[in-house]
Amino acid sequence: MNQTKQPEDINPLLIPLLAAMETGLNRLFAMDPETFERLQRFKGRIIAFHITDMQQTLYFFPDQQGIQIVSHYEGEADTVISGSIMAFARMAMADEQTKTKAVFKGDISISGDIALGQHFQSLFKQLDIDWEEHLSHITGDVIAHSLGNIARGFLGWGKDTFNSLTTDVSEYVQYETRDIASGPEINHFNTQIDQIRSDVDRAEARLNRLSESLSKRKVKITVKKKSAE
Amino acid sequence: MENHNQSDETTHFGYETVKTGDKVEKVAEVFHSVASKYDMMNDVMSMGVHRIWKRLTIEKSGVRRGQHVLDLAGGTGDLTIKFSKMVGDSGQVILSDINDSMLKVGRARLLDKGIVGNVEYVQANAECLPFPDNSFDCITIAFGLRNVTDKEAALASMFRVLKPGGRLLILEFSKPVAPGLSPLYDFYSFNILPFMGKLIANDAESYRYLAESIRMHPDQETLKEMMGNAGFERCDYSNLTGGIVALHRGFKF
Repeated sequence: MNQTKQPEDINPLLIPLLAAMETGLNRLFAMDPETFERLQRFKGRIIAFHITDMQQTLYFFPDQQGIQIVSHYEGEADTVISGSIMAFARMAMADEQTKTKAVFKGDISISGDIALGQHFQSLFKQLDIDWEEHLSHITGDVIAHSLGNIARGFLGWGKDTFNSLTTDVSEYVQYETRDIASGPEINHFNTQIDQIRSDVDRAEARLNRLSESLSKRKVKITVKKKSAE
Repeated sequence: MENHNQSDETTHFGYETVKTGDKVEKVAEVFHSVASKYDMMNDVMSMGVHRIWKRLTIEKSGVRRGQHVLDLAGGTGDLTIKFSKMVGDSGQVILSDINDSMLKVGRARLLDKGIVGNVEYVQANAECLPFPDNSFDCITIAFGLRNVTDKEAALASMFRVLKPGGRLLILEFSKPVAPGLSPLYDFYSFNILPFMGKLIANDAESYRYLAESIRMHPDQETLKEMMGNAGFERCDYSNLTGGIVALHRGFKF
């Protein structure tokens, strides 16, 4: 992959965007004091994100101060994580299992120091921001705590509502309208397919064995005929 | 440094004409005066855009791990901070300024940020750099060249210490080229800028000097030609923010 672009390719409009991105990320990191300690471990390493649909690579230089981002670097990065914008967006919000799936599906590819790439990704997952504490610097403890309670209540309500809505909708389309199959039905169907696939594989193997022994027998007969002549 | 005090040769100090030997001292006075508030004033004066200009300089520097970089007239170390991350532990950045007040502010700032190990501080005059020939992979001078008395000597000195294959980047105020920008820019420079200097740093004169020195600085094409005369090859420049600032680049082969 050609990571390096010619300096003439530097898009000046990208520079303010990078500046905003860098400031935003570092502000986010500053909200969890332990992040800088974790970032210190990455000091001196270069992590490149290659956005395939934009043909753009962003280089991350982490250290105890945060992250520096540049769009043009003439050296080699230690690890290159490639994917489309959508794949990166999905990965940012996904849990570990979905991230692994994304890598196996080929949406995201990591080359170079793979462990470094994975550790760097987990940095974002480890972010633990105490929003209430930061809010209290502006509003004072009492208001921050009340707002925190409201937010927690709202989030809890949202989560419950979302969960019950998801359950209701799925039950409706599965059992009432029967538009889609239910989980156990799909599992049963999948098991049957697996069974057929195994049967076909076995039958194919048996056929192969038979045709092999048949061709050996033909060879033997031909050899006998020739020797009789 | 050679002493020109006895000479009758003159040069410009903003719109004033002063003896060549006096310019260094006068420029030093300006920067001693503004050093402590330099970063804040830069942000206020340029409305934060100087950060974008410096970022573009970093992007065009081509600096990579293990390289040696000279940040001339580096002042409070904006570029050095970024370069030190890019060259890593195996590289080195030298933050250099002729003015010890600026250099002290820069050193304190970098130490506060925990940037140590691959950064050195050298007080030096750009006209006669105290480094061996072919020492650096990249030299930058951001908003410094217009304060140098003998620009030709400075360019020649930079050419000498640059390694073959290395590049020089000059970020400096230049001549606005965008239509209709000049009158607005003049009004801003000569009326608003000194007023803000007075308000924030309590020093209108220094900021008036900054505005005047910008007008006396060679324009884009002239500076490009001067770089060529000093031996630099493949010289080019990009106008930033309508030409208010230009980023010149030249290589030594």
